[in-house]
Amino acid sequence: MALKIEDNCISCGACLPECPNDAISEGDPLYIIDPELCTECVGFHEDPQCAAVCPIDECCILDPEYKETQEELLAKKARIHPEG
Amino acid sequence: MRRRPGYILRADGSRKRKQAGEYLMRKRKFVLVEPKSTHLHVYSRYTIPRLGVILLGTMLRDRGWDVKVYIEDVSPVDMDEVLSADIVGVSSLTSTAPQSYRLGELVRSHGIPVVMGGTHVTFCPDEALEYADYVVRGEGEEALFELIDAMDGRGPFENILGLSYWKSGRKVHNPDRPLKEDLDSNPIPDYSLVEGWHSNAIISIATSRGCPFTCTFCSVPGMYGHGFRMHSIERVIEEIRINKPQYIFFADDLFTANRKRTKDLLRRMIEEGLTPQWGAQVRIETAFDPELLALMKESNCFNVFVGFESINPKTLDLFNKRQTYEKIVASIKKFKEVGIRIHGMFVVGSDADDKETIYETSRFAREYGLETIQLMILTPLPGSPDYDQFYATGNRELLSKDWSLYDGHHAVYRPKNMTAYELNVAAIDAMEEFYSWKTILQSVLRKDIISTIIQTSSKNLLKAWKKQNRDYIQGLRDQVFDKAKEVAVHRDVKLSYRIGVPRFILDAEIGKSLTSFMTELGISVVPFGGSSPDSGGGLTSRLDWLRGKVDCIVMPVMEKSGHGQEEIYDKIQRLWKSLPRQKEDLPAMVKLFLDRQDGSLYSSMAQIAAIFTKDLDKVHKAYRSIMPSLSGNEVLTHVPVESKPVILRV
Repeated sequence: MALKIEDNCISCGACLPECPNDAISEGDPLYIIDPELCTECVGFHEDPQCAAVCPIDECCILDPEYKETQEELLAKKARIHPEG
Repeated sequence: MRRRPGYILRADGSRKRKQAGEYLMRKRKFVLVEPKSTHLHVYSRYTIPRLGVILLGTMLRDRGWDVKVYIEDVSPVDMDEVLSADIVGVSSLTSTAPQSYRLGELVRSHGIPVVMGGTHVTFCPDEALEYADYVVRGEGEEALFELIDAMDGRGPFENILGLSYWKSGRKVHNPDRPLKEDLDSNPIPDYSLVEGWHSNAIISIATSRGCPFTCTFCSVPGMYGHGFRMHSIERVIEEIRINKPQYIFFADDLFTANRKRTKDLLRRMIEEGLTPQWGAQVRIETAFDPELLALMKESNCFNVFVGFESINPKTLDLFNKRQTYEKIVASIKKFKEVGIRIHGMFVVGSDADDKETIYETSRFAREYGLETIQLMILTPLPGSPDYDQFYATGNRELLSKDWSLYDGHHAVYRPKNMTAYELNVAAIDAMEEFYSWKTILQSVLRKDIISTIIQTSSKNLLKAWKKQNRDYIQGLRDQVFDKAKEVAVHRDVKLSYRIGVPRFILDAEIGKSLTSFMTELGISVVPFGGSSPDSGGGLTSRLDWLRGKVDCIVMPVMEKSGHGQEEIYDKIQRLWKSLPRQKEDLPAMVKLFLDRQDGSLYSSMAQIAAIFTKDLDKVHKAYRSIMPSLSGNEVLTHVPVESKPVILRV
């Protein structure tokens, strides 16, 4: 499941450098996660790093519209980072 | 640039001419001063040092200067030292600005150049330059050294970003300096430079600068930006190691702005065995991360300074605080579960608050067992969004420009739903209710010695505050009762409990609210004039007719003609124009401010009511009953008066 940024985002930018997949970009007015690039940090970190640094409660949350299995997420990671 | 004085001031005030060699041989001397507030405040008894002068002092010392640092809350300023300096640096908050200015003026009169810095002068450089030669706006650690170079003739003043200065008798403000990115390049502030410093005091350590939030009352983002700039964890650990503190106050504006990094820091503190007691400013979200909370406890977090700000949801929204009442309650429970003490920070007096909100806040704090609280009166601080939006634009009026009153303990504006007097009294009284013997006894029974000590000292402090500020409070009260006094002076008969109001005002929406407000207080409203004001003699005869029949005449004031209000605006202007010149023997006139964005409407209604009753609670109650009708008022369409504030009883 990819993560998404809720509209309580304060656009602080803390999440931006944390994402291992560069899935986050500065939108207007809120930051956006590209579900095609979000792997929930699988293969890099134990937890999604955007949620870990976010100063807001319930801002970076799992997006129910993008349900993926662990295998699918790993496959996505492999696709984004073919070098390993 | 000013020349350095050709003498050295001795302790007895006499001056010794410098020998030629002394200019070269002697280390140059830089004295830094952080003046203290002239009023007692919530942190009067527990000095949490601000870091600016200590950091700059350390940097100056490292570059070969003879440095003295005075934090007046720590020890008195030795004026002989100050006046023997080559350059004097003065740091200023808004509430300490008058003290800083006095010092600046004195130092300059001795021919010594003065550099000012700090939040207040960052936002008021024009004002500060009246008392200083140079003002460093924003962060000073780079600008100060560029300035010293320029003063020594090495480089032009024009290129120093963030500097304001005098040039050929005119004030010049260079462009702002970008925020400092590499915080680790600053040295660790050396507390031993602070005169009178004792090692068992509270040590402030800043691990970051900036806050990503935009609360409307706060000047932090204006000064330090929304971006969150951090020291490396390595560096923070080193700073703790060097200082060996008993208690650290992490001076970050929001210690948990990046929870992942805060956790890493706390883990390192635990690993290194560097776990003195500590406290920091946090938001409620901190409590909802169990891992963070556990690490805080394990690393010996003693207390959290939580910015709850308000228990009134409308106020939280007005402040743009982005938190809810329900989550405030939930966070308190979480902090309590792990046994971290809570210092509840509240800001009272928003346009959605009334007196009851303030007392309710105190009750809330007692009910949820917060160990300590501060009820700060909303204060328009230069640099805050509130100040820029309401006060810098002149949309709202400041009751005083004496910056020493801008310390969160003095009402300096007119709130919407109470008088400034009531706000000030309620904020102090509600704090006194919190710091009651009952609260203290509960701490004693819990064997919580530290809370007992702090609460008792706060109780005494509040008592001392009331004594110190009696005149200010009396002054605010006098403003409410000044018309009452005027009426009492002029009247030789008993009050008739009637007021005269222009008929066209009574015909408008505001008239209905005014009538029911007065009726609630047992006061009758007597209309005068036609639906439209008469010209000249007509009004005079009508006013003559009111003589002896009413105790005062309500004169509406509108300052602008808003959309859809042209007609009533026009009528009001004509009414004022047709007032007779001779008013001596007419009933007292009371202005009713209809369209100001602040609480002038309530203040003027309270002023009228105060002619008839001393019981301001009764007046407040009467106002609360008409508040819902005011929200739909035609005359006040562009004023978003809130309906009755939501007071939560839990």
